[in-house]
Amino acid sequence: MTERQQPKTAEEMIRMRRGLNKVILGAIAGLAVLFFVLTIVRMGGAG
Amino acid sequence: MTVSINKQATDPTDVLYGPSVGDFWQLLKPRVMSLVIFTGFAGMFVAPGGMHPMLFCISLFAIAAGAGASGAINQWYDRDIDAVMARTRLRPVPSGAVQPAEALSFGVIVSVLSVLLLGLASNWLAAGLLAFTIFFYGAVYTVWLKRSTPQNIVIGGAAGALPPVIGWAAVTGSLSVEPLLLFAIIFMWTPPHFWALALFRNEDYTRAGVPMMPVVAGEFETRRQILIYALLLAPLAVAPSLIGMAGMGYGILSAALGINFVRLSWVLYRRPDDAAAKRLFAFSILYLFLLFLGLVVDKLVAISGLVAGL
Repeated sequence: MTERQQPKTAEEMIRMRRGLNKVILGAIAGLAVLFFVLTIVRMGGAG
Repeated sequence: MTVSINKQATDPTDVLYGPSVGDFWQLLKPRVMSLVIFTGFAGMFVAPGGMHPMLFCISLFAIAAGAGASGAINQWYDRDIDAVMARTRLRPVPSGAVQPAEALSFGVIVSVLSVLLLGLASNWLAAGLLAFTIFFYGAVYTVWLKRSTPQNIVIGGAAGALPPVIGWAAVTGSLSVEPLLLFAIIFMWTPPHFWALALFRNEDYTRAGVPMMPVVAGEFETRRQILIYALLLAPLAVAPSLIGMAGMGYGILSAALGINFVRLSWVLYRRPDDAAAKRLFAFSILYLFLLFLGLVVDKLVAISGLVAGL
């Protein structure tokens, strides 16, 4: 395992947190899409 | 919420704390997860019956997420011993990249979501098995077995052996002797795999106080037990072709791989050095990969044969 990228300034730390927040938002949106697709496929009689 | 920090820290570990996406990714133990994805996929693929491709993918994703979540819970609990082991000291929690509470929350949330997703995408038998696997790895193995007995990875290996069973259950909605055979193969493969690692990482485990077999029973006894497990594993891995689960091609492949597994275990038994342990460890990974690849290819050949016969 390599050394992790550490924030060196407060600005960098805030930028990293914003980046993480965006990924969390994307993950939640992705899950919503996943459950939507799941529902549609299931309603179609698959599985 | 706003973050207000007035000074620029000179020491990055002083006040600045910014876990990255990569840190959370590492919490999921991606290398372990890739093996789970592969064995879970094999279990799903060789299972009789069909499944909608989308549900197949979502189910496999859920199995992988569940395995990753149990890895996060494991890293939360093991942060004290991970910190003193060279192999694990840079993991996100002991390195300070992720707070312990964050790791635990992440693991629990992903666990719940993965079980829910698998239940909705396939069936609740598979979801129940996934929940049991997460519980077994996160609680039984990590909290209890790992620190209390040299048989830790023998019993705890059950968690790693369950993904193909979950995959099979996801497709068929039931269990039978075939998935239990896949379970048994991985179960018997786990001790020689991890004990080979423990042999050349012995100092690490001793320093951390983890009662791995070489630490407690010594290297000779470990090498002897590796050989015994290899001798049991080799014929067991051929069994799928004997019960009609796989064809002759798989039988030949598994026999050849098994002979080499026993050979390397014998070499380690007779000539104890780190190089022999590393060779066996490296081959054990390739062994499991090729074995399950063989099952998948065998099924593909069978399907293409059926299609050609139509």
